[in-house]
Amino acid sequence: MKFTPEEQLSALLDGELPEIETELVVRRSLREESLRRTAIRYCLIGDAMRDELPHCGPVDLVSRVRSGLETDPGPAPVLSEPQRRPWPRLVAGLAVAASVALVAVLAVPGGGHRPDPAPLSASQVAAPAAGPVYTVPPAYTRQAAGGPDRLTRYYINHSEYSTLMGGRSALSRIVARTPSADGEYPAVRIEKVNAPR
Amino acid sequence: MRPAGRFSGLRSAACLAALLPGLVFASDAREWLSRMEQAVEGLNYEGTFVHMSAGTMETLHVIHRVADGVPTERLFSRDQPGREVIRSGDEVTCIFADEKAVLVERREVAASSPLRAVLPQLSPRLDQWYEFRVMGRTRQLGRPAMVVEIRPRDSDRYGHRLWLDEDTAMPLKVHLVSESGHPVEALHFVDIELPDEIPAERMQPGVSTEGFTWYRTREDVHQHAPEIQPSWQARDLPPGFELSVAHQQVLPGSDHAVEHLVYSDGLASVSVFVEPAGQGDAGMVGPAHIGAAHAYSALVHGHQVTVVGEVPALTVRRIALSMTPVGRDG
Repeated sequence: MKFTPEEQLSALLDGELPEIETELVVRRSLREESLRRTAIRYCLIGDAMRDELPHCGPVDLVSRVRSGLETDPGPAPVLSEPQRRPWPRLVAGLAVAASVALVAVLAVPGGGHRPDPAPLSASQVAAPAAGPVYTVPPAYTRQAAGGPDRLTRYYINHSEYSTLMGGRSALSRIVARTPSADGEYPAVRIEKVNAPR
Repeated sequence: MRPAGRFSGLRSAACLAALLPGLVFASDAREWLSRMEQAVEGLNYEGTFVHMSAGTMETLHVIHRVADGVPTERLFSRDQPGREVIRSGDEVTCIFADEKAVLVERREVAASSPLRAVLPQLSPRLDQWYEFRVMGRTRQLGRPAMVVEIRPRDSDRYGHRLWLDEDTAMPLKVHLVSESGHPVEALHFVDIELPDEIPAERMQPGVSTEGFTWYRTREDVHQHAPEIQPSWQARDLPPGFELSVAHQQVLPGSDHAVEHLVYSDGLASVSVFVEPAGQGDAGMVGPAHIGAAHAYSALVHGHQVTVVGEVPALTVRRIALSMTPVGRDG
């Protein structure tokens, strides 16, 4: 029986791929962008199922997973051939279960699956509902002499004082900092507040 | 009483239930973290990972090479070609191809030092602020993995949940978690290799920097910032945070000194940057964030004060609003 690369990938992520095939799949995923994307999508579906994604609010999480499912072409035809294609079926099962779980999140006030909900999530703190919040124009923090803005320079400098675990995340954030088409940085937001005295 | 750590997921839960008769002692968690530290610094590895935080997701690739005991690391975006960070010796080089800019930051360490600040010896005082736990075994990327959690005991700081490869202790998945244990930021490897050797040419940037503007620290200023007696102080720190570093430095591309204070609880750290307002650019006031790293800026006594750290937004705000010149009441 011959499995497709996507099926092998799914088995790999479930820890059920024979070792002899593992290296081949990993090497192939390094070479092929589409397979790598599939790997990421499968990972996210599994993580959403296990509630291991960063919390962005229920609506955001639902839309993200739904978006992922809409673009996932793999599982649909598998259901009619259960004996021959076990791995994508498992992914389909995870996806369905994830969407059910997410519906439950929306249906149960306070999120029934969370025994200890955070009183205030990081994203909520960063972008509070009350008060105006706007994206910082680059000129606002841009060094007069040009180059990366001052806040980015602070972040880079601070990364040297992060611990082992925080260091990679710190630099990943710098690399991932995404300017939009108009040159602004959606990830960097600032809230209008009264200047402290 | 706070509920036990949640690690949901059907198979994961079943796996843990079968293999975890009870929480393993914190000392085991510390041993795993110590192993992880050695692996992350001492092994050759290369892999692709996804970095996720509120509303953003990015695919990145890391190459970590150790030659003659000296580590070098190259980190670049797979989604935005030309975004790279290379850490080598005492320099951190950040390439922003979209801005045609290269920023070189000097590190305050010897070339043979670890690329990252080591875990601060996990001193017993950390137990006041964090709970260290081995959550149990699972599988990650098809390999047996151990889940280790550093759970904060209050909302002033974040903790970590780590999925460590059982053979090598390499972190295959890392979450920054809130007091409730919920992830606020995630880093997931989707593939990783640990070759015996990595060719030196793999560490070269993937983009030509010809025609780019380079921003370095001026040659005529101290490369290694001297420790100073701080002229600013935080009057209201979250419990456990203490001053660990105080120095004056000139940031790359800048022409004036910044007072830089680092406060740490032994695991989390925040930086406070203080410079005269109006020098270089407009002032900043209020909160900002990149991913789960928060910042808060304030104008205090004619100075721009900015607090940056991988801590909750309220923590950087609290520290920023308490900064005063030494000898003044605020």
